[in-house]
Amino acid sequence: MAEKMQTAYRFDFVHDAQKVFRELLSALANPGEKKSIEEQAGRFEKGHPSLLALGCTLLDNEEGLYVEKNPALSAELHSLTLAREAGLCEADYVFLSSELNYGSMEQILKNVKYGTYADPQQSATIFLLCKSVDGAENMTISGPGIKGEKVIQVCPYIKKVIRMREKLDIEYPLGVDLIFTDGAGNLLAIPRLVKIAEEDETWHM
Amino acid sequence: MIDARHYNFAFLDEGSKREIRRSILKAVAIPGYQVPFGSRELPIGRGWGTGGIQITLSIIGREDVLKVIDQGSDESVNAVNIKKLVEECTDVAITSDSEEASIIQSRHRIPEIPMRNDQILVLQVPTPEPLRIVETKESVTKQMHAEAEYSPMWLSLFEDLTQYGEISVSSEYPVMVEGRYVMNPSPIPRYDNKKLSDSETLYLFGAGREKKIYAIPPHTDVVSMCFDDIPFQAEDFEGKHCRLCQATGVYLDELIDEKTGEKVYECSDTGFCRGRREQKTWKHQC
Amino acid sequence: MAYVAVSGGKEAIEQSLKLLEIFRESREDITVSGIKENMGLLVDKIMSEAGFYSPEYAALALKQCEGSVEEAVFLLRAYRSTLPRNYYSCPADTRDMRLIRRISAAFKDIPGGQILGPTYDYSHRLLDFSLMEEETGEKAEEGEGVGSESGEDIRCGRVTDILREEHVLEEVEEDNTEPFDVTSNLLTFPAPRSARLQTFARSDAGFLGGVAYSSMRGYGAVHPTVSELRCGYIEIDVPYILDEEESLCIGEILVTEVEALVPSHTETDEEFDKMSLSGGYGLIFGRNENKAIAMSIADASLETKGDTPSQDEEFVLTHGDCLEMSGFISHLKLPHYVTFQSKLDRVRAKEEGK
Repeated sequence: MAEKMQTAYRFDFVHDAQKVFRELLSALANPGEKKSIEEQAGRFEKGHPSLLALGCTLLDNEEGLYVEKNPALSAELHSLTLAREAGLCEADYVFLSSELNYGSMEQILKNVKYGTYADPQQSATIFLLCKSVDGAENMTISGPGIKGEKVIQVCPYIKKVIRMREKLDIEYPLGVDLIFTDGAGNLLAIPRLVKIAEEDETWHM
Repeated sequence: MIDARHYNFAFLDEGSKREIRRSILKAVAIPGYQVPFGSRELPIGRGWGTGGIQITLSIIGREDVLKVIDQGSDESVNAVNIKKLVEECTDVAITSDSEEASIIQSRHRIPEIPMRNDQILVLQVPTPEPLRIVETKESVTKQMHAEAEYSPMWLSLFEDLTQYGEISVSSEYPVMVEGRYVMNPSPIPRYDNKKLSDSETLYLFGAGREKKIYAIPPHTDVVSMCFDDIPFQAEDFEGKHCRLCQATGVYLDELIDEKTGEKVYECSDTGFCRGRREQKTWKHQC
Repeated sequence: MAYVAVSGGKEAIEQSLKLLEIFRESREDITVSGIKENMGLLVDKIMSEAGFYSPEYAALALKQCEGSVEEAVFLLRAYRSTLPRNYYSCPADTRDMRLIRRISAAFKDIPGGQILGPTYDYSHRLLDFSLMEEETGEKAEEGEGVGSESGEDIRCGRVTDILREEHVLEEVEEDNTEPFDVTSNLLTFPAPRSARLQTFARSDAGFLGGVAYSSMRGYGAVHPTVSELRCGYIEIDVPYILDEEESLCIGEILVTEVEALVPSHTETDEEFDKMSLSGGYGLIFGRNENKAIAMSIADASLETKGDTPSQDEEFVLTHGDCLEMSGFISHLKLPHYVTFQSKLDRVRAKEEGK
């Protein structure tokens, strides 16, 4: 049965998953640099190809998955990967298939797992599907993976979400890692240690 | 190639790879923190680089070019053996040229030629816990990391200093990552420690027997633990040079000349040394 | 420079593998099924330390490595890494075990009776020179030899069930938490009991024996009574994928189970009045009696407090894995000259400092 599903989706769980993983790894190691999984996402014809490609790369029956307000995506990810459905507070991976309003987004950021001081890796990773990762908003970021400071252009929603996470003042090493993607298969990672530069904050206010 | 009817691409089953990949991503997000993982057994001995190999097998794809070195050497038996395994189960291209490689797996050395951002260095780690020298119990060291309680480590370095006049830790010299985690850089010489900080490349560390994965992303702050008035000292090769390529200021292996019985030196990084010599011959020919 | 010679690693390995093949070759061939049939206890030992139940593959591994236990365990463990894990089995109740042997050292008469079964315990260890001449196939010609007189399957409840009814066993609450899996998680301390038992079950038999022996002899205080040792087949079920309520039997495995009893620790008179029996548990693949008993002692020992090695959880749980210990010991054969050079640098610096 698994065979059939793979052929129906044309996504190769060995080689396509490896490619997606490497792009994701590169995105996390170089925050703010845009990576692309367009080709692998294209193996899925309907639904949310980028999220499906990411899900099929990382999820399996060992992991807890939370999908906000999209039962169809949740069911699809479960049938493809056997990932367990989990509550928001227990989920290892949170998949958001649209730009939620700021109130809902804040609730999600507040309630996901941050890990513990002894086990900071037991924290959630959020995958957020934006309309487009690209945008006109300037954002200066710094942190591990970034040489000094770096100015990138993103959509305003992304910047707002990162700011929201910063406002929560989660003490490192606790935290939540954010991965933004879009319909064009772009990937942008903002792991927990990455901050928006102070100047940027004042400049915009 | 090993029989594809019995073995998956890159040996491990996809479930094992996914778990290792998830751990690697967490390791990158929390630089210097040792992420526990369910280490798998490999066809190569535990303690012989299985942590590094598991990382390599989990990240490698058909288009990668792999270089493996042991003690700086491409030809050392262990390096050859690891290359053979990866080649047999992936069929990827193997190189000894560090500039050609997309993934370099290494034991005890960081290559002399600075690595690029599109490359990954995988280091094999025997004992990942830097605090083991001051505390034998894992339950305690885990708590020390949780609380960033590193005073026993500082004390041990200080005692060493007062006893010997300088710090006697030779290789595996502990580092502080992003001012938060004390980390074991694996048994690289002190000479290689500086390459970890603000580098262009991603470092992944794998300890198979001890079931830990950790990482240093590019441009991460990594400081060798030392005191303000006592500077950190790398190995001293002053006045010495490689007898093959004449290089100075690199990490050297010490040998005894079979004929004269005198001490002589050669580059520890054999790929680097060979490259220098080949370039020279080429220049001479011009 | 000797064997770390900067070049020639590849050729050296190829030649070494050829030599190995020559050493492995023999004038008399042994088949995988021959090993399985004749070396059953060795096959059981390999399966238990590998944590991999397949008599056939264990026999194959033994054939491949000149009968080395650690190499055979190694081969099976490495192969196991390549297998996807699609199902988790349902808990099995060993009361349903199809018994081939069952004894109690605690009571003379037990419901169901003592069943001595196959054991070397009462054999005289005299080399039987007649086996030098034993012809292959003799047994086959006799046809219906051992095991042909089929009787009914024997199943019976445990000795501890009786004690529990009498309330002399320590009351323990049923623990239905998901078991910890040491093969896919790093063990953390204090370890849950499931992790402890799984680690012991896969542990090197010699190491576990040493731990148990030290505890019995005086480095620790566990000298238990074997309430019951049983050996037999248990059925393994997995949930049926289309209906989680149902399960499918995927086969049976041969195991040895031991329940050992020790009086609970008492210091005060009050505690003495409340004294009860607590247990240590052992369950090992195959016919593997001493390891199962050792496991039950090691388990019970960790329930006691003290400073002996057998009471140190982290010590006994992290040093008994066959593969980890032999891997780390053998890695010393690898070159270490970069680190040694670094050490020399420090030692020389000190010498100069003097």
